[in-house]
Amino acid sequence: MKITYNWLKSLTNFNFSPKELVNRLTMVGLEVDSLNHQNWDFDGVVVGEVVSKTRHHDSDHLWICDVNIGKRKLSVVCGAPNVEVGQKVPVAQEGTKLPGGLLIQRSKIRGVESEGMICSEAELGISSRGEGIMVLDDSMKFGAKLRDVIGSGDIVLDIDVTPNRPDCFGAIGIAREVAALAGSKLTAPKIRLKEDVQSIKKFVQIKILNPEKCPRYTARFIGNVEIKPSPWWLRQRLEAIGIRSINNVVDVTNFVMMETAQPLHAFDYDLLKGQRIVVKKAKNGDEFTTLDGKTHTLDSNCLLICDGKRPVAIGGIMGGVNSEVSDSTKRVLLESAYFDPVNIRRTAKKLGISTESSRRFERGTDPNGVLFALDRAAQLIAELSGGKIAKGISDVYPKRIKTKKVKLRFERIRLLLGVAVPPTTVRSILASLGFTIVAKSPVGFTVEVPTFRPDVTREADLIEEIARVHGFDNIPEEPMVAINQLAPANVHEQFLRTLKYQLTAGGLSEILTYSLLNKKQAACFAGAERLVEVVNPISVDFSTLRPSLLPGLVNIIRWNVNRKNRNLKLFEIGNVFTSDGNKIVEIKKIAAVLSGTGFYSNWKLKSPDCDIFDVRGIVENLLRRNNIAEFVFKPALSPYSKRTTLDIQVGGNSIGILGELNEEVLSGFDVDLPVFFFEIEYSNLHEKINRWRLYQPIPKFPPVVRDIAVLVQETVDAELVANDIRKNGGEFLKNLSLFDVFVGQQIESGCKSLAFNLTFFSPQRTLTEQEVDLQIRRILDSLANNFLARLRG
Amino acid sequence: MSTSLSEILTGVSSLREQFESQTKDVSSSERLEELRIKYLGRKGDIANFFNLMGNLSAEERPRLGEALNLLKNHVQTSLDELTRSMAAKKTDDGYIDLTLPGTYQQEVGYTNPLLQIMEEVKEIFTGMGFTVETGPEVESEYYNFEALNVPADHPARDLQDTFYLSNGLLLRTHTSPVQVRTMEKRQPPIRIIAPGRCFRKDTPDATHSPIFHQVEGLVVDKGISFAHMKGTLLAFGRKLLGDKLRVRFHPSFYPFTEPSADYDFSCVFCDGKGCRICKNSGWIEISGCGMVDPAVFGYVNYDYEIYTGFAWGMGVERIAMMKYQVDDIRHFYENDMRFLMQF
Repeated sequence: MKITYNWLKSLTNFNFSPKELVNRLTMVGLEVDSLNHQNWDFDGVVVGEVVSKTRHHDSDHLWICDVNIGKRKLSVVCGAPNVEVGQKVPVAQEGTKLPGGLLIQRSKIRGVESEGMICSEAELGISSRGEGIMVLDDSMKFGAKLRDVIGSGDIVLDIDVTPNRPDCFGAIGIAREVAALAGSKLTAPKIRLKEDVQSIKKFVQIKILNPEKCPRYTARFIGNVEIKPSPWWLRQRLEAIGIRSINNVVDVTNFVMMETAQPLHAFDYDLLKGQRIVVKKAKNGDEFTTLDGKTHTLDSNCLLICDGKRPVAIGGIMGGVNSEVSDSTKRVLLESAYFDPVNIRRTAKKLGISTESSRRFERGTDPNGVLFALDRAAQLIAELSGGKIAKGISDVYPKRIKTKKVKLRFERIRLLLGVAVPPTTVRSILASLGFTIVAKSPVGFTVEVPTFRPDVTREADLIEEIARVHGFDNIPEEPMVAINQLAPANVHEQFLRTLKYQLTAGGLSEILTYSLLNKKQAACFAGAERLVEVVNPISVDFSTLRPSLLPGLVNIIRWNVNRKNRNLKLFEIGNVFTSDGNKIVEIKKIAAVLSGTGFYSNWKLKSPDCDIFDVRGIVENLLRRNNIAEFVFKPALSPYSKRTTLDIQVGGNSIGILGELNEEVLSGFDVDLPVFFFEIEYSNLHEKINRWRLYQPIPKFPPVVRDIAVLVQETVDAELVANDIRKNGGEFLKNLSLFDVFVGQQIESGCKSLAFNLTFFSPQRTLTEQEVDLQIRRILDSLANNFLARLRG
Repeated sequence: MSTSLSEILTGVSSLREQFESQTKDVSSSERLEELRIKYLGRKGDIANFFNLMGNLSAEERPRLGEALNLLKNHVQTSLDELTRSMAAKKTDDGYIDLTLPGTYQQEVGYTNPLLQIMEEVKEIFTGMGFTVETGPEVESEYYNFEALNVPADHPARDLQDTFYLSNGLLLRTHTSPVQVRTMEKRQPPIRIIAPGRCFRKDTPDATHSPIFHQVEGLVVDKGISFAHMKGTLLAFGRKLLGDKLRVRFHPSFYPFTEPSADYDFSCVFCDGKGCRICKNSGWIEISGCGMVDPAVFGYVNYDYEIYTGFAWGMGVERIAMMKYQVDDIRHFYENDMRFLMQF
């Protein structure tokens, strides 16, 4: 909502500088988005009167005008189509520099000397209107400096009015707030209108068929109207706040709306049929063409304003072309009504129209302010157009909307705000905002809320009014008692934080990616029937909820690889979404991707490129570090992974998979290097965590350590060999680790060497070498039987 | 004692000669340390010469200063070189180049700055007695709007452009639904924060992201006032951004709070004096807050006559952008390693 500094000054008295006003308004809840000084500069421009115009001998569009500027007459060549004898116009004299930088000089235009220039509003920097010269009011005196008659411009404030304050969509509402801040009175304009002898009843009968959608409809009739341009004061007000001046009647309806927040509509009475206005619902499928030339298909929620025969406006939203005020209009029917906010909002949304009018009605106008706006506009139209106002008002208001009464307790103010506000201050704040105290007691007031404040219905709303005007700055900052709840700690938060630390300490970077994806990318990770799509996406790239964290992570690999960084170790913890046919399943996952070289790469040790054992190592560490000992990795199949895929199983249940993304998927992401991954379902991991860890005694007796290397066929899996060793190692074999795998020249082809480190100990005694030798023999015998394994010499 | 400049300079050059002869045949590291103390110590020979500076005229001082600094640098490099060669000689494995960079078995992982800010915010509030609550990102209209006093057809729904899914579900536009879910489960006192992802129909550009993060908070108890809200957000702001921070509250509108406010932090870059970053206002807008609206209590059956409360929101991206001076919100989601490695 735009408003000017001088406009506010005309409605109440205050001494705030523009900058202070901005601050005060912000601190009372009317945040000012911008402040714009017009700063017109017209040095050397005077008011002139066109006394004659003749055709230029060498042009079919130029005129030679004699212009009286008081002390003398100037001969000016002018190309504007709208220049007429008798007009008052702004004339830039020789030597004047216009705001655009143009310097006016005595010059010859096609052989005729011009002693100055008649200016357009654009040339003067007043508006963007440049198609013709600016025509001033007849009452302005020729010879006067332009600055003395139109001023140097106003200061425009753009206020961000919150949806709960429909009253502040009008200058009077904002001025009321300013008056409350300044401790001054609101001086709303006085109505002084002259009525004709003829009654409005002769011209129109009004009927409301749907009072639930239109609780009140009022109208006045103005005859004998002459449509012409608006005077300067009106044009200035409207154009400063961005509304283009049309003509005196339309401008008045717009002006009064911007002043009172009550939208108005003017019909050309002679285009209405049957001397009737009927307010009724549309029928499904009705068509109607609005002022802007667009045709809309209506439904039965839309409210129509009809004449005796047909619709002439969509109630509260926009008038129709069929009854629009034009240059030839002679008689006007002026509408001021109150419409149900919810219905206006639905209709505007359905039709995709948002007008100054609908924006006000849908927030809630003042049903009892309808007549003030009607009278104010009728008076101004009569004054500016020479019109005659018919006697009386047609006012259909079947069920009067009454003011509400709300109880306000002083103790409740203190409780909610944390500071006591003296009752005298409460009283004066409420009065300044237009509230009335209808009863008082030692504990509080009963307050009558004016109908222009539909947002105030409860005690808390009144307390907000008091807090606003009293000032949030006057409420102290108070500490709270530190501990007053025994709410359970969030165990997931704690565990997730631990996981994050473990993974970042292990060399992975934690990132976050978009939850919404391109559908094609999402479909690589879940069947199309399982994808969850947004009904109203902003673009195809944000159309589908991620079914996995992997597509987002791979996108980040692409981003970095394209910027010459291929060594990436990334993880994300976040929610993924799939549909099980009936409902959306939202679960938390942990996923990582690896590409490029492995984790250590320095001058001492070169790391080979990442492979599947790097992801497996991360997962194994993660499990061990969180005290999960019983896990296995089972070969598995996955639609987006190569054959090297492992299912991560804990206690017989799958908690996720790890592997290498296949080329088909990667090419869809424009990534052409190997990417290894794991993805684990968080809750599955969390439920396997053993949080109660019990102490195990540290062995008192020294261990016996042996290394054995065995030769087996390449196709014999190391895990099978290790399991066999465990099985035959006896009760004292406590630890087993594979420390070398070797294939090469010293070994016969088709074979590999597996080297294990075995640790034996007993909690009761020191083991003898002989016992251990015996056990090793058993192990080797079993390996020879089961795998044809031989001890490597 | 009064000595002329030329006498002092003679003394300086004989000190240099003495140093040269004493370092000719140093064989032990103990002797090397003795020499270091003798020449470079706080009360050493060179320091003693510096003390004579006070006796000289303003024109003479720079000349002595220059001579002494030259000597000091010479002594320093000579002793360093002796130390290095002596250390190298000591090892049996031959020469060790100690200028090689350190090695470690793995690179460090970084953390996206948004997540760092989230952790920091959580830590501050848990320290203040709050617990962390979370909720689903796919929400119902009831929890996202209705139970927060935003009925269908309310103009406030225009404030938040929503992504809808089928079945009347939507992607939550704020983490406020967690407030309702918590109040449904529990009786006051309530003191929670709800961090998480939110979604709004914004096309990504430098200042908009369809996906963003919020941390919302809620306090409900007997006797909770607007003054407590001011105190809590001030304490939070100072813990996050320093003790000089001021917080400004001004009226606003949210359907779920009454009175409603927006709160601003004083600009941390100019201490509120006005600069480019705060657009000369001295304040940086953070988010909204207010006393919980009685209608919201109605949905969860809390008695507004007994309990009051406050709630606030906070955009994590906004705070991270302000704190780190990040000029484009998309950086947080691009995860360029050159960006991540700065934090």
